[in-house]
Parts: sequence; C-alpha cells; structure tokens
Amino acid sequence: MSDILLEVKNLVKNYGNYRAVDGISFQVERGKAVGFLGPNGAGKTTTIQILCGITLPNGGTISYFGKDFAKHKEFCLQKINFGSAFNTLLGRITAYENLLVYANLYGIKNAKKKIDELLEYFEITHIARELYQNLSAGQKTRVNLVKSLLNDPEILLMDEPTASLDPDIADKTLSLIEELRKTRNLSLLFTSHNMEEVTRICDEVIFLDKGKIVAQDTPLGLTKRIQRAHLRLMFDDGEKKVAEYLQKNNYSFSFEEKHTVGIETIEKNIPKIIFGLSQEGIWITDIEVKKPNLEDVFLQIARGEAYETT
Amino acid sequence: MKLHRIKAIFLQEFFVFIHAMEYIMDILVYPLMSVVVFGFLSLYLIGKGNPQIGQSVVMGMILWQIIFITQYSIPIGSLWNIWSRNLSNLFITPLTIKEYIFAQTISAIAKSVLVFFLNAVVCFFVFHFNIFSIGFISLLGVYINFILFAFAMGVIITGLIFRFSTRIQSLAWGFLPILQPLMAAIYPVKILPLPLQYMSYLFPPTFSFEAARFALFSHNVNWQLLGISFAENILYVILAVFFFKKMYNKSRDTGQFARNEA
Repeated sequence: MSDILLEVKNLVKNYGNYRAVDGISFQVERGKAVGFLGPNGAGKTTTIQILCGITLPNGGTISYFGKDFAKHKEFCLQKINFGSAFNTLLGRITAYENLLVYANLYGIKNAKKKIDELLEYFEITHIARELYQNLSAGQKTRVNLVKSLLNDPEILLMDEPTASLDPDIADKTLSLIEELRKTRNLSLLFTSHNMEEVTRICDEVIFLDKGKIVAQDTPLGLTKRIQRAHLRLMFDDGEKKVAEYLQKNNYSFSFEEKHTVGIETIEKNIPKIIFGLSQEGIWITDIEVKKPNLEDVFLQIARGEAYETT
Repeated sequence: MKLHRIKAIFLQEFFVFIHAMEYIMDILVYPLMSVVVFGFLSLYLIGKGNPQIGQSVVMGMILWQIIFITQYSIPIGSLWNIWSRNLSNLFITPLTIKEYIFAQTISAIAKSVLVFFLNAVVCFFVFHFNIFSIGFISLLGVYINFILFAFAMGVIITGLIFRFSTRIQSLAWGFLPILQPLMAAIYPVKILPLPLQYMSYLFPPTFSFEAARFALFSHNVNWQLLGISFAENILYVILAVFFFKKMYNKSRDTGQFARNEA
C-alpha cells in the first residue's frame, strides 16, 4: 500500500489576471523524491510557497499526512521543513543561536543535544559560534540543512538548494541530501534549474510550464518520450556514397569532420541507417548515439515544441 | 499559543540585541541622549524661574520614550528578519502570527521598561527629577495607555511592511516623530492652534500626557483623562488588529509576503 505524505489536487494561484499555477495535481509518497522542473515563470516557486503556507492559493486542496493543510497548518508544519538558497538565517546572530531559535520554534526536547548531533553530522561544529553572516556559502548551506532537519521532518521541500553554490560545494550538498534520503527515508520535493541534479536526486520529475503540468514521469521515462537522437558515424571512405544515401532517404545530416557524419533522426531509424549504409558498401568504423537527456526535454518544453505528454 | 514558540522569538530578539550595535544605539543611547538634552533644557528653565515647565519638559521626554521604544521595537524585529531573508523561514514552522506579534510585543515592552528605568535613574541623579513623583497610579495608568497606543501603531506599521515590503521601512522609526508635535508630549495642548488641538485629541497619548502633567502639578490622579485615553486606545487597538490582519492576508494572497525577501 502506498504511503502518501503530500497530496495536491487542482491547485490554482492567480496574481491578478495572471494564472501562476493552473490546476496542478500530484502526490509525494514516503521516501520518494519528486523534482519540479520548468522555465522561469513556470510556477515552481509559487507552488512551493503555497505548500509552505506563506502564499495563499485561490483554489484546490493540499493535504499532508492525510490532513487538510488549510485546517491543520500547525500540525503539518511541525512535520515538514524547507530549505532554499534564497532564504537564509539571521545574519547578525551566530549559527548556533539561529539553530536554538528554530529548535524552540519546533519545541525540540534536548535542543542543545540535537543541534550538537546535527552539527557534528554535517561537520560544522567548529563554525557554530560564528556570526551567520560571516560564513561562506557552503557553510551557510550546511547550517541551513541542519535547520531543515531539526524537527526530523518526514518531507523536505527544497527550492533550488544549490543555486549560487560553486560546483564542488553543490556536489557535496547533493551528496548530503542523497545520504539523508537513504538514512532517514526522507521524502523530497525539489525544484531546480539543474537537470543533472534532478536526474541524480529525483525518482519522479514534474515539468511545469505556464503553471500547468506538461509532463510527469521518471527522469528516464521523460527522456524516452523524445524519440529524436543524434547519430554520429565514422567510416573508412566513401563520403559521396554516404551523402547520396542519406539524401535519397531524406535524412538531416552534416559532415562534422573528415570521414565523420552527424545525423539527426528518430531512434528507431538508427539500425536502418547503419544497415543501409553497410548495404551501400560503406565500412563503418565507429558509432556514437547521443540520446536525449532531461535538458533536451526542458529545452523542448521551454521552446514550446511539441512534446508527447502521455 | 505555545510558550516555546513565543520563547523562540523572544530569544531571537535577545540575540540580535546583544550582537547588533545599531540596535543598542537605537534603543538605549539615542533615547537617553534625547532625555539628557531635554534634561539640561529643564535645568535652564528651572534656573529662569519656571520650575513646573522645566519638570514637565523632562517628564514629557521620559514618557515619550515609552511610546517610541515600544512602537519601534515591534516592526523592527520583522525588518531584521526581512533584511536577512529569514522572515518566511520563521513562518514555515508551526509559529502562528498571533504568537509572533505577541512575542514581539512582550519584547518591546521589556525594552521600554529597561529604557524607562535607565532614563529615570539618569534624570534622578543628574537633573534632580523623580519621575515617580507623579504618583504610582498615574504613572501606571499613563504607561498602560502608552503601551496600548504603541502596540496599535507598531502592528499597523508591521502590517504595512508585510504588505509593501522594505520600501516603507522608514515608518518603523519615522512615523511617530511626525505625529509627536500633535500629541503634546512636552507642552500643554492649549499651546497648539485651535484646529491642531482638535486633531491632537484624536490621539490617545494627548490625554495621557495631560494626565501626567496634572499629576505632576497637583499630585492627584486624573481618572477622566486617563479613562478617555484608555477608551480611545481600545478603539485604536481593535482597528489596528483588524488592519494588520487585512494587510497580512493581502500580503500572502499577492505573494508579497514570500517576495519580501527576494
């Protein structure tokens, strides 16, 4: 039996005449990571803000742990948490003091012990007494993660948690998130512009565009819906024959370098092309197939190109 | 309301207070300097044969700081959080808006009491003026009225900050000084031109300052003036809470509450 922690039904948010979120519905199951992807203005951040209770929706329902969020806000917020690169803690007080404030907000028993354990886990005990504003971006991210875990949340909402971090720190942060998922069976709702991050972290991806869900699947499932692929063939000789064959069969191609041709085609044509060229007497020495990734899905949606959504 | 969440906001206020020099300057140093300036003015007036006027000037300034510090302290806690992009983080916890405002108000009252006693001690030893000479009952009545008025102003300004963000943040420290001339803190209302006197009576502190001067000169409690001030204050508080709720909900509806920190 599935254990649904978050269920969103027909969520709508209007800003004046502009519809930022247009009737979206989805679920997050226990232990699963769901990624929100989409171009700027797609409605990702607005949706997260509504799910955190800091922006009011115009329609639809949200339930956490089977309880209506609008009616049981305190109960739900006690069991969820939020992390974002765009929200920081109070700069003029120390990291430890910030954490003590949040531990009290969540009513954590043995707050100091809990904070110390988490600081140790994230290897930042030594910076706990520093003013938060004096910490590096990577240290702040770790302190924010400690804050996000103080109440042992069952679901963590993360809005671009690695934005503005350098690649090394972003990678470490993602590793920590992956480890947390494993050790705590934590559910995640994760927004990002970074396709690699989403592929790495998420079990399911929801593509938003203009406030609507335009695609929802596993990362692999989404990329499979793009049938286009880039085929790169290297051959011994016979450029003229290759060009003639590809022209005759109406393939889009270009010679990328000597004895190398790049062909844009749909995946199912690849064996046919290879077989056909072999029949023409072309000796193929190497084959490269570049399959679409989430970035291609993202670009296709962002450019408004046709995309198979079912 | 949960005590641990109120304690959390109170703790945050305390931590900011001990770390931020500008907070200490705004809450302790500048108010004390105002009282010192008016204290010397009072010595000058007393020396010129106007002891009652001299005492009422320094008393007015000590009492004015109660209103100013309390009002200033309520929205400034939110501004510290907005400047640090931490305000929405606070509200993604079980913290309710009632608990938040309650904690900010208690913290503001605590600061005003601290400043009041600091000013009272300085005035007693340096300017030979004892604020308690107006009588405990009158002082308590005036204090309660000032807290109520400052609370009303503080939540109105906090509501406006939630709704319109930091572009109107200067109201936190600049709004009351605009109204100060009308509230007759250091001079009697009758000094004001007649149209301004009518406006002056729209503000509850006007009656309380008059009651304080009455107590200073007659050593009696003026229940009528304190009562009118209290009644007006109740109206102000009701309207202020209603206005704050409107602003807070509008801010969350338009998405401004989350965007305050963008």
